[in-house]
Amino acid sequence: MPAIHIDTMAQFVAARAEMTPVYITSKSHGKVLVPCANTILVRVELVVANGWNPNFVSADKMQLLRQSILENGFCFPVVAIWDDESETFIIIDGFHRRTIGGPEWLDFDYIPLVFLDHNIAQRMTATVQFNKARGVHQVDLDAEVIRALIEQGLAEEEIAAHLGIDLETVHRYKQITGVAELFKNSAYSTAWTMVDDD
Amino acid sequence: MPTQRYGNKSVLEAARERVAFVFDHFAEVIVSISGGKDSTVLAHFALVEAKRRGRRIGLHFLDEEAVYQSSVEQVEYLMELFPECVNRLWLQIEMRLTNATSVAEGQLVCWEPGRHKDWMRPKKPFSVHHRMWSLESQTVRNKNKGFGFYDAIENFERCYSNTAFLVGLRAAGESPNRWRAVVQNPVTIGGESVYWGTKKGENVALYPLYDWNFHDVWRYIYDEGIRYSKIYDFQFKKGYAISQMRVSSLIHERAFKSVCDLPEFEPKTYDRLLKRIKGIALAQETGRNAKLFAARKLPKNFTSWIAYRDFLLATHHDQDRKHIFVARFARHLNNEHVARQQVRQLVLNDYENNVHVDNRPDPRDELIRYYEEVL
Repeated sequence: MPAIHIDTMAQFVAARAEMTPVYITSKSHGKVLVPCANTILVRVELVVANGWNPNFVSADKMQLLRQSILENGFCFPVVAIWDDESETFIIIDGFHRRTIGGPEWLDFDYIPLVFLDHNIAQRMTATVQFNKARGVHQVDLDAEVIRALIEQGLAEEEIAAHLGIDLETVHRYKQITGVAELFKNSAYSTAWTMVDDD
Repeated sequence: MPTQRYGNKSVLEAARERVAFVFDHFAEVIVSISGGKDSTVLAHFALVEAKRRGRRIGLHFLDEEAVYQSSVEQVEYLMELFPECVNRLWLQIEMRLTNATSVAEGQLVCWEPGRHKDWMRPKKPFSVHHRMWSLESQTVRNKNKGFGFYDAIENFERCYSNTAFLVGLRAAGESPNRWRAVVQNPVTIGGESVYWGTKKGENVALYPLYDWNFHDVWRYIYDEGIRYSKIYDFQFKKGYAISQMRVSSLIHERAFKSVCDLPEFEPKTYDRLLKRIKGIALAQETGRNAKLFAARKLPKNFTSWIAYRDFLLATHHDQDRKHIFVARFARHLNNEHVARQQVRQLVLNDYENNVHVDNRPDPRDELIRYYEEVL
Protein backbone atom coordinates (compact mmCIF):
# COMPACT_ATOMS: atom_id res chain seq x y z
CA MET A 1 0.00 0.00 0.00
CA PRO A 2 1.52 3.36 -1.00
CA ALA A 3 2.16 5.84 1.83
CA ILE A 4 -0.17 8.85 2.11
CA HIS A 5 1.63 12.17 1.64
CA ILE A 6 0.06 15.29 3.16
CA ASP A 7 1.13 18.69 1.76
CA THR A 8 -1.97 20.74 2.52
CA MET A 9 -4.85 20.94 4.93
CA ALA A 10 -7.28 19.86 2.22
CA GLN A 11 -5.29 16.67 1.64
CA PHE A 12 -5.39 15.91 5.37
CA VAL A 13 -9.15 16.44 5.60
CA ALA A 14 -9.62 14.06 2.66
CA ALA A 15 -7.20 11.47 4.07
CA ARG A 16 -8.84 11.61 7.47
CA ALA A 17 -12.25 10.84 5.97
CA GLU A 18 -10.77 7.75 4.29
CA MET A 19 -9.03 6.44 7.42
CA THR A 20 -10.38 3.21 8.93
CA PRO A 21 -9.61 2.84 12.64
CA VAL A 22 -7.55 -0.26 13.41
CA TYR A 23 -7.95 -2.19 16.66
CA ILE A 24 -6.26 -4.98 18.54
CA THR A 25 -7.96 -6.90 21.35
CA SER A 26 -6.92 -7.05 25.00
CA LYS A 27 -8.09 -10.10 26.96
CA SER A 28 -8.77 -7.85 29.95
CA HIS A 29 -9.76 -4.52 28.35
CA GLY A 30 -11.32 -5.38 24.99
CA LYS A 31 -10.66 -3.30 21.86
CA VAL A 32 -7.61 -1.01 21.88
CA LEU A 33 -7.04 1.53 19.10
CA VAL A 34 -3.83 1.30 17.00
CA PRO A 35 -3.26 4.78 15.53
CA CYS A 36 0.19 3.88 14.21
CA ALA A 37 -1.46 1.56 11.69
CA ASN A 38 -2.65 4.77 10.00
CA THR A 39 0.69 6.59 9.89
CA ILE A 40 0.80 9.40 7.34
CA LEU A 41 3.74 11.37 5.90
CA VAL A 42 3.30 15.09 6.57
CA ARG A 43 5.19 18.11 5.24
CA VAL A 44 7.65 19.09 7.96
CA GLU A 45 6.44 22.71 7.99
CA LEU A 46 2.90 21.63 8.98
CA VAL A 47 4.13 20.03 12.22
CA VAL A 48 4.79 22.37 15.17
CA ALA A 49 5.78 22.09 18.83
CA ASN A 50 3.35 22.36 21.73
CA GLY A 51 3.74 24.84 24.55
CA TRP A 52 3.61 22.40 27.42
CA ASN A 53 6.24 19.70 26.85
CA PRO A 54 8.40 19.55 30.00
CA ASN A 55 10.81 17.03 28.49
CA PHE A 56 14.41 18.06 27.91
CA VAL A 57 16.84 16.18 25.70
CA SER A 58 20.54 17.00 26.10
CA ALA A 59 22.78 17.77 23.12
CA ASP A 60 24.57 14.43 23.21
CA LYS A 61 21.25 12.57 23.21
CA MET A 62 20.15 14.64 20.17
CA GLN A 63 23.28 13.48 18.33
CA LEU A 64 22.39 9.93 19.26
CA LEU A 65 18.82 10.41 18.00
CA ARG A 66 20.12 11.72 14.68
CA GLN A 67 22.46 8.76 14.41
CA SER A 68 19.68 6.34 15.28
CA ILE A 69 17.44 7.73 12.52
CA LEU A 70 20.27 7.48 9.99
CA GLU A 71 21.21 3.95 10.97
CA ASN A 72 17.79 2.45 11.75
CA GLY A 73 15.46 4.66 9.73
CA PHE A 74 12.58 6.77 11.12
CA CYS A 75 10.88 3.98 13.13
CA PHE A 76 8.68 5.92 15.52
CA PRO A 77 6.23 8.42 14.05
CA VAL A 78 5.62 11.76 15.71
CA VAL A 79 2.30 11.81 17.59
CA ALA A 80 0.15 14.93 17.04
CA ILE A 81 -3.32 16.44 17.04
CA TRP A 82 -4.76 18.63 14.30
CA ASP A 83 -5.40 22.25 15.28
CA ASP A 84 -8.14 23.88 13.17
CA GLU A 85 -7.24 27.40 14.27
CA SER A 86 -3.60 27.40 13.23
CA GLU A 87 -4.14 24.75 10.53
CA THR A 88 -1.11 22.80 11.77
CA PHE A 89 -0.36 19.57 13.54
CA ILE A 90 0.61 20.16 17.20
CA ILE A 91 3.00 17.60 18.59
CA ILE A 92 2.06 15.50 21.62
CA ASP A 93 5.10 13.25 21.50
CA GLY A 94 8.19 13.38 19.31
CA PHE A 95 9.23 17.01 19.50
CA HIS A 96 12.89 16.07 19.21
CA ARG A 97 12.26 13.80 16.24
CA ARG A 98 10.58 16.79 14.63
CA THR A 99 13.59 18.99 15.47
CA ILE A 100 15.86 16.44 13.79
CA GLY A 101 13.70 16.88 10.69
CA GLY A 102 14.38 20.61 10.68
CA PRO A 103 16.95 22.53 8.57
CA GLU A 104 19.66 22.54 11.34
CA TRP A 105 19.77 18.76 11.36
CA LEU A 106 18.55 16.41 8.60
CA ASP A 107 16.22 18.82 6.77
CA PHE A 108 13.50 16.28 5.84
CA ASP A 109 10.70 16.96 3.33
CA TYR A 110 8.14 14.81 5.17
CA ILE A 111 8.02 13.17 8.57
CA PRO A 112 5.90 10.19 9.61
CA LEU A 113 3.01 11.20 11.86
CA VAL A 114 0.28 9.54 13.87
CA PHE A 115 -2.86 11.58 14.32
CA LEU A 116 -4.87 11.56 17.60
CA ASP A 117 -8.26 13.16 18.24
CA HIS A 118 -7.56 14.40 21.79
CA ASN A 119 -8.97 17.37 23.72
CA ILE A 120 -6.62 19.76 25.58
CA ALA A 121 -6.49 17.81 28.86
CA GLN A 122 -5.97 14.52 27.04
CA ARG A 123 -3.13 16.04 25.02
CA MET A 124 -1.24 17.25 28.08
CA THR A 125 -1.60 14.02 30.01
CA ALA A 126 -0.63 12.02 26.91
CA THR A 127 2.61 14.03 26.62
CA VAL A 128 3.53 13.24 30.22
CA GLN A 129 2.58 9.58 29.80
CA PHE A 130 4.74 9.22 26.69
CA ASN A 131 7.70 10.93 28.35
CA LYS A 132 7.62 9.09 31.64
CA ALA A 133 6.40 5.60 30.89
CA ARG A 134 9.74 4.28 29.79
CA GLY A 135 12.48 2.32 31.44
CA VAL A 136 16.00 3.00 32.57
CA HIS A 137 18.95 0.79 31.75
CA GLN A 138 20.28 -1.43 34.49
CA VAL A 139 23.89 -0.49 34.97
CA ASP A 140 25.23 -4.04 34.91
CA LEU A 141 23.24 -4.98 31.80
CA ASP A 142 24.48 -1.85 30.01
CA ALA A 143 27.97 -2.98 30.92
CA GLU A 144 27.17 -6.41 29.45
CA VAL A 145 26.14 -4.82 26.13
CA ILE A 146 29.42 -2.91 25.97
CA ARG A 147 31.42 -6.00 26.77
CA ALA A 148 29.59 -7.95 24.05
CA LEU A 149 30.31 -5.19 21.50
CA ILE A 150 34.00 -5.25 22.43
CA GLU A 151 33.99 -9.01 21.92
CA GLN A 152 32.37 -8.43 18.51
CA GLY A 153 35.52 -6.51 17.62
CA LEU A 154 34.24 -2.93 17.83
CA ALA A 155 36.79 -0.31 18.89
CA GLU A 156 36.11 1.76 22.00
CA GLU A 157 35.78 4.88 19.83
CA GLU A 158 33.18 3.17 17.64
CA ILE A 159 31.19 2.07 20.68
CA ALA A 160 31.29 5.58 22.10
CA ALA A 161 30.11 7.03 18.79
CA HIS A 162 27.31 4.51 18.20
CA LEU A 163 25.90 4.51 21.73
CA GLY A 164 26.24 8.27 22.18
CA ILE A 165 28.45 8.04 25.27
CA ASP A 166 31.92 9.39 25.92
CA LEU A 167 35.10 7.33 25.99
CA GLU A 168 35.43 7.59 29.76
CA THR A 169 32.05 5.95 30.22
CA VAL A 170 33.06 3.10 27.88
CA HIS A 171 36.23 2.74 29.89
CA ARG A 172 34.35 2.63 33.18
CA TYR A 173 31.89 0.08 31.87
CA LYS A 174 34.76 -2.04 30.61
CA GLN A 175 36.11 -2.27 34.14
CA ILE A 176 34.11 -5.40 34.83
CA THR A 177 36.72 -6.48 37.36
CA GLY A 178 35.46 -3.73 39.63
CA VAL A 179 36.65 -1.04 41.99
CA ALA A 180 39.03 -3.13 44.14
CA GLU A 181 41.13 -3.92 41.04
CA LEU A 182 42.02 -0.22 40.71
CA PHE A 183 43.89 -0.26 44.02
CA LYS A 184 46.04 -3.33 43.57
CA ASN A 185 49.20 -1.26 43.21
CA SER A 186 48.48 1.40 45.81
CA ALA A 187 50.71 1.48 48.91
CA TYR A 188 49.29 1.22 52.42
CA SER A 189 49.27 4.47 54.40
CA THR A 190 51.48 5.04 57.42
CA ALA A 191 49.82 4.36 60.75
CA TRP A 192 49.46 7.19 63.27
CA THR A 193 48.55 7.44 66.92
CA MET A 194 47.27 10.10 69.25
CA VAL A 195 49.85 11.02 71.90
CA ASP A 196 49.63 13.35 74.88
CA ASP A 197 51.75 16.46 74.45
CA ASP A 198 53.03 16.60 78.02
CA MET B 1 45.07 18.01 74.13
CA PRO B 2 46.47 14.93 72.35
CA THR B 3 48.06 15.36 68.96
CA GLN B 4 48.43 13.12 65.96
CA ARG B 5 51.86 11.45 65.41
CA TYR B 6 52.97 9.22 62.53
CA GLY B 7 54.96 6.07 63.34
CA ASN B 8 56.96 3.72 61.13
CA LYS B 9 54.33 1.00 60.62
CA SER B 10 51.82 0.65 57.85
CA VAL B 11 48.14 0.81 58.75
CA LEU B 12 47.97 -2.89 57.85
CA GLU B 13 50.49 -3.96 60.53
CA ALA B 14 49.04 -1.53 63.04
CA ALA B 15 45.48 -2.79 62.55
CA ARG B 16 46.61 -6.42 62.95
CA GLU B 17 48.29 -5.48 66.23
CA ARG B 18 45.23 -3.59 67.43
CA VAL B 19 42.92 -6.51 66.68
CA ALA B 20 45.32 -8.91 68.46
CA PHE B 21 45.37 -6.48 71.41
CA VAL B 22 41.57 -6.58 71.56
CA PHE B 23 41.55 -10.40 71.53
CA ASP B 24 44.20 -10.41 74.29
CA HIS B 25 42.08 -8.27 76.59
CA PHE B 26 38.49 -9.25 75.86
CA ALA B 27 36.89 -12.68 76.00
CA GLU B 28 33.91 -11.45 74.03
CA VAL B 29 34.32 -9.56 70.74
CA ILE B 30 31.46 -8.36 68.55
CA VAL B 31 31.93 -6.65 65.16
CA SER B 32 29.20 -4.36 63.83
CA ILE B 33 28.70 -4.91 60.11
CA SER B 34 26.60 -3.02 57.57
CA GLY B 35 27.45 -4.57 54.22
CA GLY B 36 29.74 -1.60 53.52
CA LYS B 37 33.44 -1.86 52.68
CA ASP B 38 34.89 -0.62 56.01
CA SER B 39 32.98 -3.03 58.21
CA THR B 40 33.70 -5.79 55.69
CA VAL B 41 37.45 -5.27 56.12
CA LEU B 42 37.17 -5.03 59.91
CA ALA B 43 35.07 -8.21 60.12
CA HIS B 44 37.65 -9.98 57.96
CA PHE B 45 40.50 -8.91 60.28
CA ALA B 46 38.58 -10.13 63.33
CA LEU B 47 37.53 -13.40 61.69
CA VAL B 48 41.11 -14.23 60.67
CA GLU B 49 42.30 -13.54 64.23
CA ALA B 50 39.43 -15.59 65.72
CA LYS B 51 40.27 -18.52 63.44
CA ARG B 52 43.95 -18.30 64.38
CA ARG B 53 43.05 -18.45 68.08
CA GLY B 54 40.24 -20.99 67.71
CA ARG B 55 37.75 -18.50 69.10
CA ARG B 56 34.27 -17.36 68.21
CA ILE B 57 33.20 -13.74 67.66
CA GLY B 58 29.82 -12.07 67.16
CA LEU B 59 28.94 -10.46 63.82
CA HIS B 60 26.21 -7.94 64.48
CA PHE B 61 23.99 -6.62 61.68
CA LEU B 62 21.12 -4.33 62.62
CA ASP B 63 18.80 -4.88 59.67
CA GLU B 64 16.76 -1.79 58.67
CA GLU B 65 14.75 -3.78 56.10
CA ALA B 66 14.91 -1.00 53.46
CA VAL B 67 18.48 -1.75 52.37
CA TYR B 68 20.18 -2.80 49.16
CA GLN B 69 19.85 -6.49 48.35
CA SER B 70 23.62 -6.34 47.75
CA SER B 71 24.10 -5.37 51.42
CA VAL B 72 22.02 -8.34 52.55
CA GLU B 73 24.11 -10.63 50.35
CA GLN B 74 27.32 -9.11 51.70
CA VAL B 75 26.24 -9.76 55.30
CA GLU B 76 25.32 -13.34 54.38
CA TYR B 77 28.77 -13.77 52.82
CA LEU B 78 30.60 -12.52 55.93
CA MET B 79 28.54 -14.71 58.24
CA GLU B 80 29.35 -17.77 56.10
CA LEU B 81 33.06 -17.02 55.66
CA PHE B 82 34.29 -18.90 58.76
CA PRO B 83 31.01 -20.22 60.21
CA GLU B 84 32.79 -22.09 62.99
CA CYS B 85 34.09 -18.74 64.33
CA VAL B 86 30.83 -16.77 64.13
CA ASN B 87 27.85 -16.05 66.35
CA ARG B 88 25.29 -14.66 63.91
CA LEU B 89 23.76 -11.60 65.59
CA TRP B 90 21.52 -10.53 62.71
CA LEU B 91 18.78 -8.42 64.32
CA GLN B 92 15.46 -8.14 62.47
CA ILE B 93 13.31 -6.38 65.04
CA GLU B 94 10.61 -3.72 64.90
CA MET B 95 12.12 -0.19 64.72
CA ARG B 96 10.84 3.21 63.68
CA LEU B 97 12.98 4.72 60.92
CA THR B 98 12.62 8.14 59.36
CA ASN B 99 11.26 8.08 55.83
CA ALA B 100 12.54 11.35 54.39
CA THR B 101 10.73 10.79 51.10
CA SER B 102 7.12 11.12 52.21
CA VAL B 103 5.01 13.61 54.11
CA ALA B 104 2.12 11.16 54.43
CA GLU B 105 4.20 8.25 55.74
CA GLY B 106 7.03 9.89 57.69
CA GLN B 107 8.20 6.69 59.32
CA LEU B 108 8.96 3.22 58.16
CA VAL B 109 8.15 0.72 60.88
CA CYS B 110 10.60 -1.91 59.74
CA TRP B 111 9.72 -5.55 60.40
CA GLU B 112 6.30 -4.37 61.62
CA PRO B 113 4.49 -7.29 63.24
CA GLY B 114 1.41 -8.50 61.37
CA ARG B 115 2.61 -6.99 58.08
CA HIS B 116 5.04 -9.73 57.10
CA LYS B 117 3.49 -9.89 53.62
CA ASP B 118 4.62 -6.30 52.99
CA TRP B 119 8.19 -6.69 54.22
CA MET B 120 10.96 -6.10 51.67
CA ARG B 121 11.99 -9.74 52.16
CA PRO B 122 11.23 -12.51 54.67
CA LYS B 123 13.20 -12.68 57.90
CA LYS B 124 16.15 -15.08 58.08
CA PRO B 125 15.34 -18.31 59.88
CA PHE B 126 18.44 -17.93 62.09
CA SER B 127 18.19 -14.19 62.76
CA VAL B 128 17.13 -12.56 66.03
CA HIS B 129 13.38 -11.94 65.51
CA HIS B 130 12.47 -10.37 68.87
CA ARG B 131 14.12 -7.92 71.19
CA MET B 132 16.73 -9.58 73.42
CA TRP B 133 15.82 -7.38 76.39
CA SER B 134 12.65 -6.90 78.44
CA LEU B 135 10.17 -4.16 77.61
CA GLU B 136 10.57 -2.79 81.18
CA SER B 137 14.32 -2.30 80.79
CA GLN B 138 14.06 -0.87 77.26
CA THR B 139 15.19 2.74 76.84
CA VAL B 140 14.00 5.15 74.17
CA ARG B 141 15.89 8.39 73.46
CA ASN B 142 13.07 10.30 71.85
CA LYS B 143 9.49 9.47 72.87
CA ASN B 144 8.07 11.49 69.96
CA LYS B 145 9.82 9.28 67.49
CA GLY B 146 9.54 5.99 69.29
CA PHE B 147 12.00 3.12 69.38
CA GLY B 148 14.55 3.85 66.65
CA PHE B 149 17.84 2.69 65.16
CA TYR B 150 20.15 4.09 67.86
CA ASP B 151 17.85 2.81 70.59
CA ALA B 152 18.22 -0.67 69.14
CA ILE B 153 22.03 -0.35 69.22
CA GLU B 154 22.04 0.91 72.81
CA ASN B 155 19.64 -1.70 74.13
CA PHE B 156 21.47 -4.44 72.24
CA GLU B 157 24.83 -3.40 73.66
CA ARG B 158 23.40 -3.29 77.16
CA CYS B 159 22.72 -7.03 76.92
CA TYR B 160 26.49 -7.49 77.21
CA SER B 161 29.25 -6.60 79.66
CA ASN B 162 33.07 -6.51 79.37
CA THR B 163 32.62 -6.87 75.64
CA ALA B 164 34.62 -5.22 72.87
CA PHE B 165 32.38 -3.82 70.13
CA LEU B 166 34.46 -3.28 67.00
CA VAL B 167 33.26 -0.58 64.61
CA GLY B 168 34.72 0.25 61.15
CA LEU B 169 34.79 4.01 61.80
CA ARG B 170 37.64 5.83 60.04
CA ALA B 171 38.92 9.26 61.07
CA ALA B 172 39.68 10.12 57.45
CA GLY B 173 36.36 8.72 56.36
CA GLU B 174 32.73 9.58 56.68
CA SER B 175 32.52 11.23 60.09
CA PRO B 176 35.37 13.54 61.20
CA ASN B 177 32.99 14.99 63.81
CA ARG B 178 32.34 11.62 65.34
CA TRP B 179 36.08 10.97 65.36
CA ARG B 180 36.83 14.16 67.26
CA ALA B 181 34.30 13.07 69.89
CA VAL B 182 36.03 9.69 70.19
CA VAL B 183 39.50 11.14 70.78
CA GLN B 184 38.21 13.29 73.65
CA ASN B 185 37.57 10.23 75.82
CA PRO B 186 40.33 7.60 75.68
CA VAL B 187 39.60 4.31 77.40
CA THR B 188 42.00 2.41 79.65
CA ILE B 189 42.56 -1.23 78.68
CA GLY B 190 45.13 -3.34 80.57
CA GLY B 191 46.71 -0.19 81.99
CA GLU B 192 47.08 1.33 78.53
CA SER B 193 45.32 4.51 77.41
CA VAL B 194 43.60 3.72 74.12
CA TYR B 195 42.60 6.68 71.97
CA TRP B 196 40.82 4.60 69.34
CA GLY B 197 37.98 3.65 71.59
CA THR B 198 35.35 4.87 74.04
CA LYS B 199 33.70 3.45 77.09
CA LYS B 200 30.09 2.51 76.44
CA GLY B 201 28.38 1.53 79.67
CA GLU B 202 29.89 -1.78 80.77
CA ASN B 203 31.48 -2.28 77.36
CA VAL B 204 34.02 -0.65 75.08
CA ALA B 205 33.59 0.53 71.48
CA LEU B 206 36.84 0.24 69.51
CA TYR B 207 37.87 1.51 66.06
CA PRO B 208 40.94 -0.46 64.87
CA LEU B 209 40.76 1.02 61.34
CA TYR B 210 40.67 4.65 62.53
CA ASP B 211 43.79 5.70 60.57
CA TRP B 212 42.89 3.89 57.33
CA ASN B 213 42.19 5.77 54.13
CA PHE B 214 39.71 4.54 51.55
CA HIS B 215 42.52 3.31 49.29
CA ASP B 216 43.88 1.16 52.14
CA VAL B 217 40.46 -0.42 52.47
CA TRP B 218 40.29 -1.20 48.75
CA ARG B 219 43.86 -2.47 48.65
CA TYR B 220 43.09 -4.89 51.50
CA ILE B 221 39.92 -6.09 49.76
CA TYR B 222 41.92 -6.68 46.58
CA ASP B 223 44.84 -8.43 48.35
CA GLU B 224 42.64 -10.75 50.37
CA GLY B 225 40.24 -11.41 47.51
CA ILE B 226 37.26 -10.53 49.70
CA ARG B 227 33.82 -10.12 48.17
CA TYR B 228 32.36 -6.62 48.45
CA SER B 229 28.96 -5.05 47.79
CA LYS B 230 28.14 -4.75 44.07
CA ILE B 231 26.80 -1.26 44.74
CA TYR B 232 30.39 0.07 44.73
CA ASP B 233 30.95 -1.23 41.20
CA PHE B 234 27.63 0.28 40.06
CA GLN B 235 28.52 3.63 41.63
CA PHE B 236 31.93 3.50 39.99
CA LYS B 237 30.37 2.84 36.58
CA LYS B 238 27.99 5.76 37.15
CA GLY B 239 30.98 8.05 37.71
CA TYR B 240 30.81 8.52 41.49
CA ALA B 241 34.05 9.74 43.07
CA ILE B 242 35.60 6.78 44.83
CA SER B 243 35.87 8.71 48.09
CA GLN B 244 32.12 9.50 47.91
CA MET B 245 30.84 5.95 47.48
CA ARG B 246 28.38 4.85 50.15
CA VAL B 247 26.27 1.84 50.86
CA SER B 248 23.58 2.88 53.29
CA SER B 249 19.94 2.71 54.17
CA LEU B 250 17.71 3.76 51.31
CA ILE B 251 15.34 6.20 52.96
CA HIS B 252 16.70 8.22 55.90
CA GLU B 253 17.54 11.96 55.79
CA ARG B 254 21.08 11.58 54.57
CA ALA B 255 20.72 8.58 52.31
CA PHE B 256 17.51 9.01 50.34
CA LYS B 257 19.43 10.21 47.28
CA SER B 258 20.48 6.60 46.81
CA VAL B 259 16.90 6.02 45.68
CA CYS B 260 17.66 8.10 42.54
CA ASP B 261 19.95 5.44 41.13
CA LEU B 262 18.18 2.44 42.61
CA PRO B 263 16.18 1.48 39.47
CA GLU B 264 19.45 1.28 37.56
CA PHE B 265 21.28 -0.65 40.29
CA GLU B 266 18.69 -2.96 41.79
CA PRO B 267 15.36 -2.75 39.91
CA LYS B 268 13.77 -5.50 42.00
CA THR B 269 14.68 -3.77 45.27
CA TYR B 270 13.22 -0.55 43.87
CA ASP B 271 9.95 -2.25 42.91
CA ARG B 272 9.60 -3.74 46.39
CA LEU B 273 10.41 -0.41 48.04
CA LEU B 274 7.71 1.29 45.91
CA LYS B 275 5.15 -1.13 47.30
CA ARG B 276 6.54 -0.93 50.83
CA ILE B 277 6.39 2.79 51.55
CA LYS B 278 5.06 6.06 50.15
CA GLY B 279 7.12 8.84 48.61
CA ILE B 280 9.63 6.64 46.81
CA ALA B 281 8.59 7.54 43.25
CA LEU B 282 8.85 11.28 43.95
CA ALA B 283 12.24 10.92 45.60
CA GLN B 284 13.46 8.82 42.69
CA GLU B 285 12.56 11.49 40.15
CA THR B 286 13.44 14.60 42.11
CA GLY B 287 16.01 13.53 44.73
CA ARG B 288 18.69 15.63 43.06
CA ASN B 289 16.42 18.57 42.23
CA ALA B 290 17.76 21.78 43.77
CA LYS B 291 14.29 23.10 44.63
CA LEU B 292 12.64 20.17 46.31
CA PHE B 293 14.54 17.98 48.78
CA ALA B 294 17.90 19.73 48.67
CA ALA B 295 16.30 23.16 49.34
CA ARG B 296 19.09 24.97 47.52
CA LYS B 297 16.87 27.16 45.35
CA LEU B 298 13.84 29.04 46.60
CA PRO B 299 10.62 27.98 44.81
CA LYS B 300 9.46 30.84 42.58
CA ASN B 301 6.21 31.42 44.51
CA PHE B 302 8.15 32.60 47.56
CA THR B 303 10.15 35.77 48.05
CA SER B 304 12.15 34.65 51.10
CA TRP B 305 13.23 31.48 52.92
CA ILE B 306 11.53 32.80 56.05
CA ALA B 307 8.22 33.05 54.18
CA TYR B 308 8.69 29.57 52.71
CA ARG B 309 9.49 28.13 56.15
CA ASP B 310 6.44 29.79 57.72
CA PHE B 311 4.27 28.45 54.91
CA LEU B 312 5.58 24.91 55.43
CA LEU B 313 4.95 25.18 59.17
CA ALA B 314 1.46 26.64 58.74
CA THR B 315 0.48 23.85 56.36
CA HIS B 316 2.34 21.10 58.20
CA HIS B 317 0.67 17.73 57.63
CA ASP B 318 1.43 16.13 60.97
CA GLN B 319 0.05 17.92 64.04
CA ASP B 320 1.92 15.51 66.34
CA ARG B 321 5.29 16.50 64.88
CA LYS B 322 4.67 20.14 64.09
CA HIS B 323 5.39 21.24 67.67
CA ILE B 324 8.81 19.53 67.54
CA PHE B 325 9.81 21.85 64.70
CA VAL B 326 8.15 24.91 66.23
CA ALA B 327 9.96 24.39 69.56
CA ARG B 328 13.30 23.73 67.86
CA PHE B 329 13.10 26.73 65.53
CA ALA B 330 12.18 29.00 68.47
CA ARG B 331 15.72 28.39 69.77
CA HIS B 332 17.27 29.40 66.42
CA LEU B 333 18.07 32.83 65.04
CA ASN B 334 15.51 34.19 62.61
CA ASN B 335 17.33 34.99 59.37
CA GLU B 336 17.46 33.80 55.75
CA HIS B 337 20.58 31.71 56.29
CA VAL B 338 19.00 29.75 59.14
CA ALA B 339 15.52 29.66 57.58
CA ARG B 340 16.85 27.89 54.46
CA GLN B 341 18.27 25.14 56.65
CA GLN B 342 15.03 24.92 58.61
CA VAL B 343 13.20 24.45 55.30
CA ARG B 344 15.57 21.60 54.56
CA GLN B 345 14.68 19.93 57.86
CA LEU B 346 10.97 20.43 57.16
CA VAL B 347 10.99 18.97 53.65
CA LEU B 348 13.10 16.04 54.82
CA ASN B 349 10.72 15.48 57.72
CA ASP B 350 13.74 15.62 60.03
CA TYR B 351 11.96 15.67 63.39
CA GLU B 352 15.00 13.95 64.91
CA ASN B 353 17.28 16.92 64.14
CA ASN B 354 19.83 14.83 62.22
CA VAL B 355 20.49 17.39 59.48
CA HIS B 356 22.75 19.98 61.02
CA VAL B 357 21.50 23.58 61.25
CA ASP B 358 24.26 26.17 61.23
CA ASN B 359 22.64 28.64 63.63
CA ARG B 360 24.46 31.95 63.12
CA PRO B 361 23.84 35.45 61.81
CA ASP B 362 23.32 35.51 58.06
CA PRO B 363 26.82 35.88 56.55
CA ARG B 364 25.30 37.99 53.78
CA ASP B 365 24.09 40.59 56.29
CA GLU B 366 27.62 40.97 57.54
CA LEU B 367 28.94 41.37 54.00
CA ILE B 368 26.33 44.02 53.24
CA ARG B 369 27.20 45.92 56.45
CA TYR B 370 30.87 45.74 55.55
CA TYR B 371 30.29 47.29 52.13
CA GLU B 372 27.96 49.92 53.58
CA GLU B 373 30.78 51.01 55.86
CA VAL B 374 33.48 50.84 53.23
CA LEU B 375 31.63 52.54 50.41
